[in-house]
Order: sequence, then structure tokens, then C-alpha cells
Amino acid sequence: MRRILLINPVDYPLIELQQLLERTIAELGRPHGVVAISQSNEWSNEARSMGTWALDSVIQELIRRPESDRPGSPILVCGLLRSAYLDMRIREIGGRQLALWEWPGFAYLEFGFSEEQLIATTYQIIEGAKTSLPAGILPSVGDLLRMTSEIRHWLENRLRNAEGALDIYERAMRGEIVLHRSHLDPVAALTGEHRAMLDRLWVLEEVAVRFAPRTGGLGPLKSAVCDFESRWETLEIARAVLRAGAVDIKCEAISPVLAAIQQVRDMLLAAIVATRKLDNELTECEED
Amino acid sequence: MASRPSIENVGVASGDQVRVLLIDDEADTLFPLLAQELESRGFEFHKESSPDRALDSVQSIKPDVILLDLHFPGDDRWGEKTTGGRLLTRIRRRFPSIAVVVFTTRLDDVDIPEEAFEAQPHFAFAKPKFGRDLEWVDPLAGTMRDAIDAAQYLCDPEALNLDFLVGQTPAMRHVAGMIRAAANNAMTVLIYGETGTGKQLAAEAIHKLSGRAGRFEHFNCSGVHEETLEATLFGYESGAFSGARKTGMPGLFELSNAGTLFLDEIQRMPVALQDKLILVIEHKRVRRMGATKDTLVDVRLIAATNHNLSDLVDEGAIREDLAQRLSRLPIVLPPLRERMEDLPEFFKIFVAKANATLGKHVLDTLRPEVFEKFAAYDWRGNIRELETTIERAVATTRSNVLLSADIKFSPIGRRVMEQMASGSPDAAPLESPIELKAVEPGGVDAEVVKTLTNQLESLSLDKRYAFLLGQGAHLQKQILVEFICRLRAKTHRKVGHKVLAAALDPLPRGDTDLARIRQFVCSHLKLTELDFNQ
Repeated sequence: MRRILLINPVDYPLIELQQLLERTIAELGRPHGVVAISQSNEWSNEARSMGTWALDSVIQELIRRPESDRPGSPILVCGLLRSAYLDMRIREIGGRQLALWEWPGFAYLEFGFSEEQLIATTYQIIEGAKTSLPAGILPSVGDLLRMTSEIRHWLENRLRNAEGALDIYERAMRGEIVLHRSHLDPVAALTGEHRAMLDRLWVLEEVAVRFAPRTGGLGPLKSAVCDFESRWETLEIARAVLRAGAVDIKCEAISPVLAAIQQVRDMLLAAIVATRKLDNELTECEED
Repeated sequence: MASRPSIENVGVASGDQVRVLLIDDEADTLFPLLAQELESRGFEFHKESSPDRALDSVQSIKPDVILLDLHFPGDDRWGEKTTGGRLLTRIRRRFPSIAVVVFTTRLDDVDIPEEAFEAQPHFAFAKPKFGRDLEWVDPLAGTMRDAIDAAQYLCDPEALNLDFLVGQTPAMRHVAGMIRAAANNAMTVLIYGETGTGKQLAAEAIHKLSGRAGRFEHFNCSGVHEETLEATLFGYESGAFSGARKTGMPGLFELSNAGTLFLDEIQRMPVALQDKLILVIEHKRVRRMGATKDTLVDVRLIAATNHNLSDLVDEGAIREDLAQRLSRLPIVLPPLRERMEDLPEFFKIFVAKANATLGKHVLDTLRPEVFEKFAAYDWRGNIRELETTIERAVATTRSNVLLSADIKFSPIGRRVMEQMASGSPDAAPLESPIELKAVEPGGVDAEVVKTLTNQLESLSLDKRYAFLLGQGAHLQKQILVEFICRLRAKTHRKVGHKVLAAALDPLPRGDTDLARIRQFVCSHLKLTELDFNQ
């Protein structure tokens, strides 16, 4: 039996929505069931605020379902955001989200829809799902490799700068140089852009597990990035202490900062190694 | 005993320091590393980590040089376009006078879209491994200073009396780039350009930028007797000819040793002397008249002509082997009539110069009717003629704003205008205004547009501007907009939008119709309001 994927991105009673949709399908006399997907807490605030996380989760769900059942499942997403706004955002993003948005088997309904609208939309997506899903909606190994390459580039840049900072702090500890004031400025572990970059990869966790099971998918990399963030917090705490010491800095005050940078460096190295291991297995998969 | 480290103010910025803006997604962690080593060398650092805010930061900080990363989060590492590449294009367009150094991981991975440079020089530097080895510091400082020097020379005409380099048309940006390229080597240069386009100025600019220690000498080969020409260029020994100085005399090639010699109207050099010229170019040797030995010289030769070199070879005016040697590095200076969009800028410069010379205070406001008159003129004398025309106008006007009546062309130029008005074979068919049909608001009469398009396309480029201007005052605005949008060549469209601005200028700014039309033009020509208002 074909099932309609019902995505509910907000705190609305999901069961009631599911029952409503099941009644509608029964009235249409169609042999479809409903699979309801509620919001995931794994999505970052940024992705959620963009309102487009639902499409990523649809794609995740499509990835999760068995191969034989995947083609032709009608998809209904409900939400509070206006259709026109979502349409504009998705067109800016483009890519597979836009392909899914434009697929006739997919529809988005703003909350506040009437029963007639629900009936019409349900009918529309059931008919529309007879058209195959566009190629490229589901991520490929190549997509994963591109994204891990992007992340590794960033990690290597951060590592280079961390090693540079390490050298400078070491020299300062030995009294060879005077630390520039900017070395004490607070710095976030991840900027908004970096976090969004990582989110785009984390979305593909299911894909990564399928293509790189030996490596454990994205697990080791996620874990390494998490450790890096944690160590960076420690570094910022140590830096704050140094900042508070103002002008007269003793060598021993620098020591915790130095130790923290060394740990950050180690975590960055671990994350880079994790991307390479993942890439190796993905590349093998691509070649097969 | 090691001194106690402290965080005193290291490298506090002062007024003489070079202001650097670092645009990099890792700017927060990169900034301290650069500032630590470079602030004491005279650099004041600022940072921006978000590409979305980068242009605003450039606008507010006004750096002397930008260190620009290419790859930002979200870039496909294997894709063709990078955020940094796109930013570079936009920075070049909006802030052409600010130097940019691409600061990237690997120089062979540099993805720089060609349109970002358009023959301007560009600088790149590989991000170093920061550490105890400080070998990167001086080269990076040097690269930033070189980039600033290059940007200054190319974008600040005052720096080298480069009035003719005014304007940001693609052709002039190419010229500026070629001048810079020529300055970086000792190749023979051939400058093509009509009279008054600035050939000598270009040659002087190449000489100055090259840093050659010797003199800059120039000579016009036209109207000079062959023997006089030979003596002047190559010198002579005592007794070489009747009337020769007893001590002999060095020629211009010797006088400009280690420097540059500019020979204008090279096509006028007698074929008999071209042998000797080839000897200088190829073997760096010059033989005086009457001499038995050669003298070694190190002269950079720049030649100029306003004729097509191939035609000159066909006519036998220039030897083919000389033509090949001369045309190693050609630079083409466009005539003024092909750069009418630069006219407002020239106008400001020359009015200011005339005011300074004549002690007057004429405003540099270019009125639309004056622009029309300028645009309709032939400018056989190009920029030189424009300068003298404006100077004459400033000298004779009784008001402090130049009006159309103040503009009086030279007698030669006037003949051209009269020809155009009389309908002689060379004249532009300046059509009378098209009789308008009623056009619904928001509608465009396709027939009228088609008629105009056919008429315009039958005219040569310089005639089209005059035609458009002649129509501008009479056509309904929407037709003019539609018409300009259909101009195919990018150059035509750019001029078209300037024409539109001039044609619409007298209208009150509060006219909503005007606002709608500007919006329409911007979207069709893919311009922003900023482009439109420039």
C-alpha cells in the first residue's frame, strides 16, 4: 500500500492531523496509508528558522525508506510559514530542495487550510506521485565527498591558524615576544556560516551510513567536531582569565591557554583524520 | 633573564599606516597572527568573516588593501565559482581604486573569474604555515605594498598625469593593464591611436612605471628630412656631413640610454633608416652617421602610429621585419567618440584645469544640452581637442555654468558638423523626431520601436549617439527605454543608459513615472540603482 508522507514541522497535534488525512484519503477512495513525521530536534535553529528543514527531513525520510517503496510516495508538508515565503527561500537555495518542491507529488499547506483545500491537495499529490521523483533529489556519494572536502578545507585552515597561535603563545611564555592584544579577543568555535555548513552534512547522516557503514557514517566526524567545540570552550575560558589579568601577565597565566590550544589542535587533527577515513570508504563505494 | 610578557599595546595604528581589511571566514583566528607580525611594519588590520557583510565593511573601513580569501563555507570545493571570486568581481566594480591581494591556500588552486580583472594587474599570496619561521612576513608586506602602488597608478590619473586614463570602460581598463604589463618588461611597444588620444602620455606612463633610470625622449618622425632624422636619432661623428659639429653629436638613442625613446608617427620613418632601427631593437647597437663602430645602448623603444600596420607593410611604408618587431606589445587607445560615457568625467577634469589656469570659477556641471552638443561632434582631435574646447569655453563664458552657446568648436570640427547637417554623403542622417502614436500607459508601440531600431542600426556608432540624443527630447519615455533595451552590444547599452539619464534628467525627481522607468531600465540592463546613477 502506498503511503503519504505527512511532515509536521511545528507543535501541532500530529495524530489528529494524521487522522484527518486518513479520513480524507478514505473519502477519496484511494488505497493509501499515512506516514507521519514530526519535527526533529537534531536540526539547528538556523535550519529550522529558515523553514526549509522540513524538506531536508523529507529527503532524509526518502533515504530511510526501502528502495522498492521509495518512488512515487506522495508527500504533504504542513506548516505555519506562508507558502509564498517558503517558495522564495527554496528558489534561492535551489538544488534538490527546489526539485522536491516542484515535484507534483509534493505539496505544502499552510495551517488554517480548509477541508476542501486538504481534499484537493491530497488528490493532487496522489495523482502527482505517479510522476517519478526527479533524478538527483537523493544525495549521491559524490555529494558527500564534496561536502566532506569543504569541511576538511575549513578544518585545515583552522588547524593552520591554531598552530600559528600555539607558536606565538609559546614564544610569549618564554618572554621572546609581547602578545598582540587581539590574541585575547573571544572567538566562537563556529560561526553561523560554519555551523550551517556542518548542518548540511549532518542532514545526510542516513546516506553516509548506507555508503560508508564500516566507518560508521558521520558518527566519528560528528563526535570529533563535538570534541573540538568542547575544547574550544575550554580555550575561551582560559583566554577570558588571561584577559582579566590585563597588562601584567605572568608566564604561568599563559600556560592554561597554551594547553587548551594544544588540545584544540589535537581535536582538529582527529576531525581531519575522520574526514579522510570517511572519504576513503566513500571513494571505494563510488568506484564499485 | 627573559622579560615578563605583557599585553601592552603593540602596533597602535597611526595615521601613516596602511589600512588592511582581511576578508576570510577564519578572519577571527587569522587576524591575530597577521597583526602580531605586521602591525609593527606599518599595517593596520581590520577583519570581516562574513562575505555578506564584506562590501559594507569595505565601504565603511575604506582600506588601502584587501586580503581576500577565495573559499567560504557553502562553496562547492570542486565547483567553478567561489564566493571569494564573486566578491572580487564586485569589489573591482565598486571600489576600483582599492588594491586586492587574493589570500588563498594554494596559488595553483586559484579560481579567479576573468571578468574580475579585465586586464588589471592582480596579486595573490599563498597562506603560509604560521610559526617560528617568519619568512612569509616581508614578502606579504611587499606584495600588499606592490598591490597598492599598482592600484594607485591605474586608478589615480593625478598620480602620473594620466588624464587619458580617465574612465572605467572595458577598453580603458584594458589599456591600463597593458601599460602596467609593458612597464614590467623591456619589450618594444607599439601604441595605436588617433591624434590627441594620449599616445605620448601613455609612453611616459610606461617609462615612469618601469622605473628605468635613463631619460624619456620623444620625437615625431613626420615632416623631417631623412638626413636630419638620421642625425637626430642615431647621432653623427665629426665630419659626417657638411655643417656637422666638430665634436660630433649623440643621437636620441644614445641620449635615452637606460631610458625610453618614444617615436611618434613611426610610419613616416624612411625605409632606408629602418635597417638601423632594427639593429637597435635586435642587437642594442646604434651606429652614428659617419662612424665605423657601433655603440651599445640599452633603450626601451615605444613607437606610435595611427595607421594600420598591415596596410603600411602592404604599401611598402614599413618593412615587414620591422613591423613584426614593433608589434610585440600593441596598445590601442580608443578615440574619444568611442568613449562618450567618459565625457562627463573628462569635463570635470578639464573645467578644473581651465579654472586653475585662468583663475576662473566655472562650475563643472555638465548640462544635458552641452552633453548633446559634445556627443554630436566628431572629435577628430580627440581628448586634446576636447581639452582645448573646454578651455576656450571657460575662457570666454560670462556665466559660471557652461551653456551650449559657450561651446565653440574649432574651424575644422565645425566643418564636420556642417556636413552632418547638410546631408552630405558623410553626414549622419539626423532624423526629425518620430511622430508619436498614442501609447497606452505601460504599453510600447512596437511599430515605432521597430522603425527606430532600423534607423539606428543603419548608422555608424558615432552617429547613433547623436541620433539617440536628438530623439530623446521628443520620444515618450517608455519608447526610449524599450529602444535602449534592445541595443544589443553592451557598449551601446551602457551609452544608451547614459543617454537615457541625460534625456530624463530635466524631469522632476518626484515623477513616479520616472521611478518606474528607472526600475524597468535597471532590470532590463541588469543594472543596479547605483550603476544607473553613476
